[in-house]
Amino acid sequence: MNGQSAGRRRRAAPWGLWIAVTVLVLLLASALLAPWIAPYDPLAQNLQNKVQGPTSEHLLGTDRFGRDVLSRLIWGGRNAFGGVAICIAVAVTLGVPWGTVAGFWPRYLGTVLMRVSDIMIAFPLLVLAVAITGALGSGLVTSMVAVGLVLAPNIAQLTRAGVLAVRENDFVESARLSGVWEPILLVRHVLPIALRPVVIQLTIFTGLTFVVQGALAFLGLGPQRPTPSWGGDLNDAYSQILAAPLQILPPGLLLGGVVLCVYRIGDTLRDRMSSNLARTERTENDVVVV
Amino acid sequence: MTAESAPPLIQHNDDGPAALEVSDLTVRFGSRRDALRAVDGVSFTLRRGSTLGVIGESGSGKSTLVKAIAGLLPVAEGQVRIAGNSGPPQPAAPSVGRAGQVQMIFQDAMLALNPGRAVWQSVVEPLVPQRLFVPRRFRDRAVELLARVGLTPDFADRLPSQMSGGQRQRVTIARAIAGRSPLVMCDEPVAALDISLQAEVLQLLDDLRRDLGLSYVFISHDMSSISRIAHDVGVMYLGQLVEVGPAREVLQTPRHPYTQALIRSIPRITLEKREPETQLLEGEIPDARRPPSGCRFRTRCPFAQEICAREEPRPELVEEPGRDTGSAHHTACHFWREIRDGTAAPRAH
Repeated sequence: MNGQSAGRRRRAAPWGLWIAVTVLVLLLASALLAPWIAPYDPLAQNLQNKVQGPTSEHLLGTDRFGRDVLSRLIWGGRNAFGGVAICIAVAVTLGVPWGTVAGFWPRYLGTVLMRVSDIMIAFPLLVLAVAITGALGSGLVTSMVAVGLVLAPNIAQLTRAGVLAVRENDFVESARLSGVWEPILLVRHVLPIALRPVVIQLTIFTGLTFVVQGALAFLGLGPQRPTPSWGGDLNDAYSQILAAPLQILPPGLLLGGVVLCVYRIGDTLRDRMSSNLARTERTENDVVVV
Repeated sequence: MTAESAPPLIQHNDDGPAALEVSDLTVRFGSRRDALRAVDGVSFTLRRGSTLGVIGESGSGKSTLVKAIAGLLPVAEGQVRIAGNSGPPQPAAPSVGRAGQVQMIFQDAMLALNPGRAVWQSVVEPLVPQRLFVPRRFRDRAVELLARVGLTPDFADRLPSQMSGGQRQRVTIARAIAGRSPLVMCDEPVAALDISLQAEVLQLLDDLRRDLGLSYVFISHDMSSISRIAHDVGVMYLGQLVEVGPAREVLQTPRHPYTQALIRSIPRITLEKREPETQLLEGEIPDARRPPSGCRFRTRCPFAQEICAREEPRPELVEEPGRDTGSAHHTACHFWREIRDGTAAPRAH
């Protein structure tokens, strides 16, 4: 990109985007630096001070075992971000080759691969994730691998659609005429464009994964107690909801806020990438990428 | 056309080697039962250093023909021989078969250039087909090639979206000549350009042909482009060549009723209001899946007789008194002589 379009991009950048990026960067940093910045041991119980509201000593109060909520959320961030990273990594390493193969050999192999993905997509996401986690055993890694497995067929279908659309382009045929090897063709001409919608979808899945991860932890399928996790802490707070209704606010708002921030970034990505594509479509009256 | 082999339609008096020989080329889409014969038994020879213009309506199989010649589509029957070397049809692996022998210039340069790659990388692609990354030193070669097509060096680092349509088409032309492929398929290369640019790009293509000894198969539905650049002209209808010969003859004294109707249907610049033409093409091109029996043009032909439904016309040599030498003129019509002499009776409507 040249300076001109970079300038246009800077002007267009809205505050919401910067807030979203800042919040996520701060949360990620606090999770990484948890041993140094968390004010208390997240596991240390103090039954004399349980279920407190915010105080100067405990900024977000304490839970039903008297543990510092802020410290637990900071430590829980490690599981949250780490878990999402595992999930997305699984979805991408499985889904992208899956869809690429299906897009390059669409007739037989591709049909089989897509039917498999259709079947997997037919199940509700959470139900399938719970089932796989049940088979693999509860825990942060297994539950997040399970979610990644469930998301992979979506990534595969999106990748396949992109590959099919791009490989029809004249520049791919021109490369064939020049004798470009198929693997190079794939890396050089097809995937960089075919994967644009996948990148957009991944931001949406990232937000979704935070929610699903919270839900699985809430159901007791994520990190096991007393390990701090946002969903698990939400469940703890929920069990106290009649005695201390405000306890659900810190983990709940945090989870919701993170998802909103991720979606805000995803929106920007989508607008930017699809407007690039739309420009090509409009001026050239033909579709480069769906 | 039937499977029995027909002689190449253009025969030359000089014995110079042909750049391209196509014999009985057939391209099918779909399964055998309901196959669409997009190109059906086309034969011609392209002289080295010359341009064959191919005209015809949309859906006549022009693009399919050049893609099959280039090896981008599987050849069902027939042969494509490039530059004298026997190139057997390579339906299985078109990407290896004719690599480097043929290049192609497409109608829409925006789609023919990777939108995410700098222009210089696209231009030198035929030189580095088996490297993942294009070495930086090839940029100098790209600049030379860009200069050859009239673009200054500062275009080398641009993206296709940062250029005009004419500039983009020049880039694809530079790529087509980069690998020194002697044969170039031009699929309506100027159709998407402004009228003012069309002449420039045509001139560029013709200069390159002369200087580099290239041979073109040039598709267009625009007769004026064809008359400017083509030495020979072939006319396609429903996957078959119905008339082929020297451009001057085919365009000025066409012998096939389809060619005659095509040429009559060209709008001319005139200030007087003209009488409506009597014999314009009527109706749509028929479904190529179920072509008419016998002569495929008979459903729209004003001179069609009973025999036209029964028998497929073979290409016949048009012998004209005092015609100049060059390639032979063939037409596939039962009644071309009668039509020429004005004794054929137009069908009553």
